[in-house]
Amino acid sequence: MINPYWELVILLCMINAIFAVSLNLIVGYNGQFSLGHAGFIAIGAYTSGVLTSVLGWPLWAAMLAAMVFSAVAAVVIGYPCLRLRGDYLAIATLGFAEIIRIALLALPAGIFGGPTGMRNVASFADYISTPRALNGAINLAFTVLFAVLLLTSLGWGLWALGGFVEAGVRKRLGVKHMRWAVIAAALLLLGWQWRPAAVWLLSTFQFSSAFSAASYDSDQWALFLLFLAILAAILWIVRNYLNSATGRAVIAIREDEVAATNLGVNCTWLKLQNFTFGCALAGLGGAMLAHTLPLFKPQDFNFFKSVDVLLMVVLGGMGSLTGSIVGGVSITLLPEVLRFIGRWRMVIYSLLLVLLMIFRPTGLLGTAEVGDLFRRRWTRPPQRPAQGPGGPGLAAEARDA
Amino acid sequence: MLEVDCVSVVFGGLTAVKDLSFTVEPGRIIGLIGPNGAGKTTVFNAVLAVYPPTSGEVRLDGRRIDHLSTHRIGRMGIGRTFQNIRLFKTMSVLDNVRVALQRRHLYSMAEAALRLPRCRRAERRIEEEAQEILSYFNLAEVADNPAGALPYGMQKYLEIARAYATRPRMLLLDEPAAGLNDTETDALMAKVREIMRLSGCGVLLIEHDMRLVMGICENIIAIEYGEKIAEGPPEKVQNDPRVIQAYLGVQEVHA
Repeated sequence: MINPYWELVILLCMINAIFAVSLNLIVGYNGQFSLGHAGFIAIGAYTSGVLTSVLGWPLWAAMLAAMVFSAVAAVVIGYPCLRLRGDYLAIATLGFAEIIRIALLALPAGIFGGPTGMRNVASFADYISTPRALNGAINLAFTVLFAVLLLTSLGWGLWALGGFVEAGVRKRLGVKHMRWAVIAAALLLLGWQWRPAAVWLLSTFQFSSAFSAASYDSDQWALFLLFLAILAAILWIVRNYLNSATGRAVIAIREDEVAATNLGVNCTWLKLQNFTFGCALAGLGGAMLAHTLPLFKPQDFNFFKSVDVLLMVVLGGMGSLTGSIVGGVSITLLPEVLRFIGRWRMVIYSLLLVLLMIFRPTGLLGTAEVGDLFRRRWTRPPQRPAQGPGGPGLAAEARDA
Repeated sequence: MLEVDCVSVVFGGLTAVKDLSFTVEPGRIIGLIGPNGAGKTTVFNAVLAVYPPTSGEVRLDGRRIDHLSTHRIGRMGIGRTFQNIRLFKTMSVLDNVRVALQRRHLYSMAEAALRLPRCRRAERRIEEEAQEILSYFNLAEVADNPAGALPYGMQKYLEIARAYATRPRMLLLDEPAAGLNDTETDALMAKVREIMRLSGCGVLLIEHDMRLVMGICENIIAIEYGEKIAEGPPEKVQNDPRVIQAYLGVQEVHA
């Protein structure tokens, strides 16, 4: 079984991935700059929290209500605001999120918890009961799964970093094989610090206690499975949405609103619809957050939460769904992974973000999807020659291009 | 038939278009000429209600359209291209055309999200039609390329293909020949004439290239400072003293 602290981190990774996907719909695909995502997350979290703990609603109904409430709030704020563009829209949504946060502080503390927040919300685990006999084995399976996932992504990250360094160094200094130097350096570092690394690995992924009483009592695997299923469902639906007529029109609005309007696209309506969809997903993520964290308070949904989510979108790549997941997971993991640094942790974290934005301004994936990277490497589609249409001059121009 | 009836567009104290009237019949090409800043593009924007006319009426096949919003007018069948090409640059060539023609195959967002059969059927039809249009404009080869990566000439074709995909009854082309050489221009205009014959739409054309305008248009409207100064067949407009004045300047004779 995975230790409870890292269990929470993994769940937060998935929730943050949902936030990033939902904001990417608005910022990355539709080009509307929203800084108020925390407001919609807060609405989702508090709706679900209050409905389950105070009114005793079943979990699924409360989560559905969280989506509906966030969607309604999105329509109310989006209808006047989406006529604004760029900075103005960002400021208006930012103001909205602050209104929500301060309203939550002011609402009756008996129900909403006031500034200290809500702490008696039932967690997902309270709703789940799994056959005890199975827990040990399945927990072990998930522990292995996440350990493999972590190690492969670390390896892939190292490989990519090495390739990046190699490309830069070869261009400037003409030195080859830097990728292997980077990997060797990382391995040396690991060899030097093997003892703390091994301790960390084994205390995080507690293979040895797989069949202990604690593991039999824990149904963390069901949580992982549930969250993965929700994330997968959201991804599938969002991908279908983006590949549909509506999704194409939404992207067309980002590209050129005037041209889209002339083609018969109702931009105002579509922007509102897309904004509402994104915010409803944020509400769902907020509800999941409410039932995952032991405690949440209005201060958790301040301006910095909105910025965090925006950071995930930008870092992963605006207009890339899998990029949002990579962004959400990295932004959640990075501060945790950097804990060994100690007191300079957040400085290093910020420095990494600055470096990434300098060298990779389109985000880790740009507009590509993770699948594209492998497809390009493994199948290598034949290069399409651009043939000119119409006049003879065009063909020549196309060849030059 | 597009009827523009006494249309004026006023921005604050500036009258950009003043009491302009003309009609474009289906199957005919009308040229709109005038020196820089004469208000030609503003006429387009007034017809499409990007800047709604301050006074006057615009009718499409007898129905008033000047009070509608731009996207409704687009759906009613007025296609348009832009002076500086406005493609959806990072979208594929195919998607550019798909956005234009998907209005005719509607399905709900729920059907799209769950990929239900009706959505899949509609998507197949949209794709087929888009491919058909692309191959008609000789763009099928580059269907998967991002539109912004196409060479300039192909972008011009794509913009016309996209406007054509809305099945317009009226096509407004804003300087289609700008930046093309003579051979390319001829090929493009041959294509425009062909789609006009096929679909029976009317064409309103803004153009600076006099050779082109005189060659292709049956009727020409010349405007200056938003006012019509001449109208008629090419030879007549070409020799109109006010048109010559507008283009070459007034020769002041001091007594």
